Amino acid sequence: MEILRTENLCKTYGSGETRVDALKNVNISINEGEFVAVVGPSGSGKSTLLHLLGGVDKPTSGKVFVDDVDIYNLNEKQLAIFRRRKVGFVFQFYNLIPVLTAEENILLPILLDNKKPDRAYIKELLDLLGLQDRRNHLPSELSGGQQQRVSIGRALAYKPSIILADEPTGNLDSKNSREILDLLKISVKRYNQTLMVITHDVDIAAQADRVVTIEDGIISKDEVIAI
Amino acid sequence: MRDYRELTSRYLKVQKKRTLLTIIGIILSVALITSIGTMVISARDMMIKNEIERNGDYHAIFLDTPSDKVNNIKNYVGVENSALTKTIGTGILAQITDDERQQNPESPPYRYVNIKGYDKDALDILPITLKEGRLPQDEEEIILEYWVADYLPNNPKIGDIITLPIGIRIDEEGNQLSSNSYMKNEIFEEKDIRKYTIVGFFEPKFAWVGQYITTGITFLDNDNLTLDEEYNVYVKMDSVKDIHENTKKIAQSLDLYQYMEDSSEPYYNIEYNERLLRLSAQSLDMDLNNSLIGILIFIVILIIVSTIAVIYNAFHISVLERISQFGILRCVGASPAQIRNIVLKEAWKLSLIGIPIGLFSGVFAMQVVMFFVNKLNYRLLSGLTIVVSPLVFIVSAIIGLITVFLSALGPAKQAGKIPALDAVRNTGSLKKESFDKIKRSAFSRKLLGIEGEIAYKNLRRNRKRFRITVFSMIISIVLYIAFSSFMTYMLKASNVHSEEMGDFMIWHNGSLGREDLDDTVYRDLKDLPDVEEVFYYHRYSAQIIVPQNKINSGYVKTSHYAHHYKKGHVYELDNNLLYGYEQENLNAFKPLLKKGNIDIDAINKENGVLIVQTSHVYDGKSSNGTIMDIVNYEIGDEISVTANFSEENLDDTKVKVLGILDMSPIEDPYNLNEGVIMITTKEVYDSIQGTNYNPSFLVKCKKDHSLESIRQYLKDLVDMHPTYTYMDRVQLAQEERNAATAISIFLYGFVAVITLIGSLNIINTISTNLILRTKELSMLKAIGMTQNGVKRMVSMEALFYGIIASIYGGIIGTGLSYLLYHFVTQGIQDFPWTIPWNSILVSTAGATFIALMSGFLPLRRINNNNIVDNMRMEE
Ligand SMILES: Nc1ncnc2c1ncn2[C@@H]1O[C@H](COP(=O)(O)OP(=O)(O)OP(=O)(O)O)[C@@H](O)[C@H]1O
Ligand SMILES: [Mg+2]
Repeated sequence: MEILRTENLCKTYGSGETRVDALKNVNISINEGEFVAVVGPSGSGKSTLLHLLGGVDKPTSGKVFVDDVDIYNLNEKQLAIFRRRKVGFVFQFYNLIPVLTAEENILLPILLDNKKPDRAYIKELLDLLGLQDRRNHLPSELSGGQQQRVSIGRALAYKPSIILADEPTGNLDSKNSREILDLLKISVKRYNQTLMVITHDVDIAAQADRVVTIEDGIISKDEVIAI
Repeated sequence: MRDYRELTSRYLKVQKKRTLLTIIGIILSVALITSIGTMVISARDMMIKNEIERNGDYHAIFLDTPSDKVNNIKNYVGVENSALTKTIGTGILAQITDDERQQNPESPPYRYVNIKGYDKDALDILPITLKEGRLPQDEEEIILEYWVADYLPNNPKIGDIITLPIGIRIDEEGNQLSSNSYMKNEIFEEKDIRKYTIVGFFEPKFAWVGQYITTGITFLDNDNLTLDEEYNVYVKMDSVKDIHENTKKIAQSLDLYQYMEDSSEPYYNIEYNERLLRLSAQSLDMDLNNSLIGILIFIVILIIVSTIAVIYNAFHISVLERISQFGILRCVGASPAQIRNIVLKEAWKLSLIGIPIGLFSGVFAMQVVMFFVNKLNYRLLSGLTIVVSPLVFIVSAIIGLITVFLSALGPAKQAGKIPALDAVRNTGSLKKESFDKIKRSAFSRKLLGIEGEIAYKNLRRNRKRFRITVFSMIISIVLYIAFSSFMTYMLKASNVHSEEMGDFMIWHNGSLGREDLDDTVYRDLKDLPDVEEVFYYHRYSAQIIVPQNKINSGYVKTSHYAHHYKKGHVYELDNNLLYGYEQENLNAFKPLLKKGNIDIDAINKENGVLIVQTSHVYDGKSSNGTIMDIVNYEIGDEISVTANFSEENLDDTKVKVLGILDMSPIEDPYNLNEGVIMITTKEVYDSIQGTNYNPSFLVKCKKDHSLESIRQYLKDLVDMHPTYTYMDRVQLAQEERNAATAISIFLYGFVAVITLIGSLNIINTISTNLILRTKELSMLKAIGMTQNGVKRMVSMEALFYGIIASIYGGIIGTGLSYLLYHFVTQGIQDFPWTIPWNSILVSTAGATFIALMSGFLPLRRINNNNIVDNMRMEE
């Protein structure tokens, strides 16, 4: 079943001499539960695509449908709620709130919704992430790998249907990288979530259901990997 | 954490320094506003107390109320307190002696005591200052003005019994005389003889020693009112609102009014304690004149503006610092409103801490100030106690809250607008900066070195931060200039008149035919050991006729009134002053001589005058006063003078200009009402004015003398001859100086706090500027810039900020000070406006210095920390 679809998605930066067409008429459709790896050279438009899919940027033209809803037709508040409940982001530079502890960072999307977190699930999540004994630490007291696990926890906390990760392992060693990806995969499987990961790591791409290659703002290759 | 809003307190805790700074800002401004409010309320309270002390604690008096209506008034709804008095009659104290009659041929035949009965309540609420003894307790007891005993036979003491003939005073036609007038030929009609026991002596309220009609107070039994007699009923109402209507209603319902012959309006015999009523009236604005309110409002606005600047900057910077964090929040799904709320809640929490502390420290500060002011013994403020008013607290708290919210609203909105992408793309605000747009300048590098160049570029790279910093420095500079020049104007405006009026000023009213006495006084004064110089002169206003060619055309153009004076080809100026001095006085005018000379013989022979052509002129267009020459006479010109109100209606006299003075050395330097000042000898004055009366003496004393001899002499003089009055300018000047000091304590206090607020603002912006760049500065060091190099760079930045802010701040501040000058002087420009160079210098140097200092503190931190730590530091 299709969960994500774009229609002639374009993104242009600047104008005149400095004009950059970061995305040119991208059409892509992603099914529920799919694990998609996005690869391509630096500057090709991968991050731009991910941002547009997650509703944190605005396209120059074209549309993004999530569950058949045109997300750029929503107002600010609806879009905020969309991001809160539907999407989980994982960034290369973790981007944690420095004044909140590990656990609080994870709970943030739920708290923003004025909801009571499901304690059992959070405990399970913390166990899964191996952060049980680090939950009361501030980001500055955590290692890079631990911080990234917190940011994954935050992305998973609300059990969003879509997880978007931009080079989640870019700053980590290979052991940590493997663990992080395993975590994502476990969660995705357990809750039937859709996962999109931008990566330069061939090993990671190899584990995906589907590998999309972007070059110069267009999808140049889209291969489904048979299991 | 239960709620995302708890983020607020986390942020506040993490940003301890800025939180503290912001709270201090809030405290200072709330404290300032509270202290102003407390001052106003306390002053009002003091005025009410003084008024009660002077006039009594009542609102209205129903005069001459028939005895059967008295209790009706007392029990009327709305009457809170009441008291009764009654005029018993006039008693004779003593006959006027021949000696006394010689001193004042107009004196009445007797000295009297006007006896009034006060009931218990009246003794309580009406002001009586006992000097000795106690208040009367029955109708046989009396208290008298303390000096009266000397006139009574046998000089009675407390406890002695006096016997007084009681009656009424009438004039030759049989009309009763009031207690404040007397006649030479009045008649005393005796009705009764009474015995009283003297139980006390009190200070007279307004009278001076030597008065003919004095007051005595006996007891009035309010349980046994005499039928068919009239009483004065003093009432204090529940509320002062609509008091005039309400009291008239009482009178109406009791039939206590009458119709006068010439009016259809009923006449109520009610007297009001108007000043007390006005002071106790609900609205404060009734007892404060407009300019005072204007000044207060202006000060409060200044305070609010400076506070808004601090708090706005604090929030703005803290939002800028957290751009990436708000971005993350947006990424994980926070709505703009939620982020706005986080910031606004910070503001709320800070107010919750800052405002109460501000309220209390405001009152406390006022108490401290009053402690020092009271040490000065400044008469106007003695008796002022600080009144803690809930109203002031509420108003100040609300103003404080509004201020904080206004300041936080902008940054909060801005925070809400931060796009999610700002978090994802990059850490922090680097994205907003535009390094490439800055042109290299070989010139600036040569001049300032590489550090200077980087410093310059740093300024330009973030327009927002640049603006905030410059803005905060400008605000501080402007506030300082405006407020300190405002202070100077206030002090000047309150001091202007105390010059050249001598140390003592003596007037003689009604010395008709007593020139010999005046001459004696003049000689006596001159001979006193403390006295340096005595001016003895007469003054009157006179009309002069000025031909068209002698009038200053500039004056005619400027003045609003000049055309009124024009009569055909001449101007008839009405408000000229003619002074006739004792001859020897004129020599003292030599230093002021602009043209001509002072030759007494010539003056006397040729009807000569010395003139001051400069006058205050009312400018019709700008509705301001200016000072300018109104005529241009030359030496030898003749002026045609008519004395106004002359007894003998003399014809015009021609006087000859023999000297032109820069200004008058005595009284006002220039004529206040568009006229010239003419100064001549007594002889010439007499020939113009005709009769010579109402002289003035102006006494200049020797420096550092005790002034005992002159004070004693004047006291004796006035005791002996009540027609003389004098003014002790030395004492007045002392009081004025004390007043000026008291005002300065307040004003300097405000300037200090405003300066503090301004400095806080600069420290806040500059130091965050650097803290934000800790990472980058460490990197510069990592690639080889020395600590001194970094210091140079940072100081250069501060210097640039200082220069730019000084230019703008200086200009705006000067403009504001000009406006304030007009505001304070209200068109009466006793002193000219000048560019406030001092304040400009102090404020710009101060602001730059503070900027430098606030740069060095964070640098020390950067120096101490490990370079690597700093580079790793997350924002
Ligand atoms: N804010 C921006 N302003 C101008 N150009 C931009 C902006 N953001 C991205 N670009 C340009 O858009 C293009 C695509 O950028 P994008 O970040 O999507 O690349 P990427 O594929 O994620 O690269 P990388 O693998 O290095 O992260 C690049 O050429 C980049 O220069
Ligand atoms: Mg990228």
